[in-house]
Amino acid sequence: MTEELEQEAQRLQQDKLVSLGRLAASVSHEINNPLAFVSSNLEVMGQYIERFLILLNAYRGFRKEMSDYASPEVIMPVKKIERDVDADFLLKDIDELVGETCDGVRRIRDIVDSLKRFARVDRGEWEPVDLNGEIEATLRIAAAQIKRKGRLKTELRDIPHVRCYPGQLSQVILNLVINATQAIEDRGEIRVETKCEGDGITVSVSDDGTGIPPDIQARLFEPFFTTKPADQGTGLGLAISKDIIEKHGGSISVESEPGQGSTFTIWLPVEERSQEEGAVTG
Amino acid sequence: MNKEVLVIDKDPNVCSALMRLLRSERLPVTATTSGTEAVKLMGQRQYAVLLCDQQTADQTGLEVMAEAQNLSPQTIKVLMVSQMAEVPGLIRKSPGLKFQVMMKPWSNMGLIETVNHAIKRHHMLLEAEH
Repeated sequence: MTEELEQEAQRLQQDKLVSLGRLAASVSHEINNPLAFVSSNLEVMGQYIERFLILLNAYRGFRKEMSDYASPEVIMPVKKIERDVDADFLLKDIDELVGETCDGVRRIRDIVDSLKRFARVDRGEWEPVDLNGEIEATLRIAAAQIKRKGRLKTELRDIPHVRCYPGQLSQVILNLVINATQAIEDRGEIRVETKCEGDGITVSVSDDGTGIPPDIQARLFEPFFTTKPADQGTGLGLAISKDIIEKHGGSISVESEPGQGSTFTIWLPVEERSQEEGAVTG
Repeated sequence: MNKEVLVIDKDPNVCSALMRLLRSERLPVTATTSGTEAVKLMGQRQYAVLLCDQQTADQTGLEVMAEAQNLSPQTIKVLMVSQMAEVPGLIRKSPGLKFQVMMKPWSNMGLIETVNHAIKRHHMLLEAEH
């Protein structure tokens, strides 16, 4: 590719991310209110149903009592209605119906939450940061999840402070570590390393889990691309991570061998950058 | 004991969801979509808690809460926001205004807890004055 073409491709990619960020911001904003009252109402509806069931069971008990005394003309129409509306099935299904719907709302909530992050109103402060300290704090958050999947090895070497939005970088690292735990099927090892490289530093997160086939590697950083079950991943984690790292002037890459594990490496520049350059649009 | 809650949100469906939820806790609730209307209501009676979104039909939540502060300083003010990240900016914009923050979407249990706690605080403030 010629240099102009490459620049054009980069500009297009940048434009795409900016408009995606705007879309994410407006979608998450618009969905937030209906989501708030739908999820609240749904829970209250569940409570209403519970109370209706108490009432209904009382009626049914009463109906059984009555069938010994009342004439068939009184009882039969009631029995017919019970059959017509399929009362037994409704009673059996109602818990699952409400439960599955609540689960769906929870998933929508997760997606909206990811979109909010993608839109990234939560910018925080642009400051020089000791990344090793930030990583240690982040690993504490994920400690329980890591423990379940095996050992954690860290090799945090002496690195200079990096100008960044620490909250965003810790989000990226957390995301990579959680992905690493999910890549390990049974038990394995997760390694987190930092070191100096060129004009910057690298942070790498490795696992010895299932690895990623080459055709999937190419699509990993696309928004909404996910290999996880629908209730576990929104497909935004790595897209957000890549966006954050690029806005910090860095890069993120993956090396993986199916069956051997994967390594995600972040490179970040160390030289001073102005706030404007580091700031995020969209 | 006064447990009156005033809800303000520009979305009428949010208003009725909150009314429903608080009613299930047997709390007396009034709701309106308009900040101006809310201020008028606050002039007529004292509310224990003000549950106000940052967006109302005609004013910002901060504006409504600033007026509430003048009318009834003992009313506990809770601001609903959809992003934690908005909060530092909102606090900077309103020096001297005390309010609690609640995330939207809310969890029903968390919201009820917040409101009950606010009612207690309201009564503590009232007692401290006597």
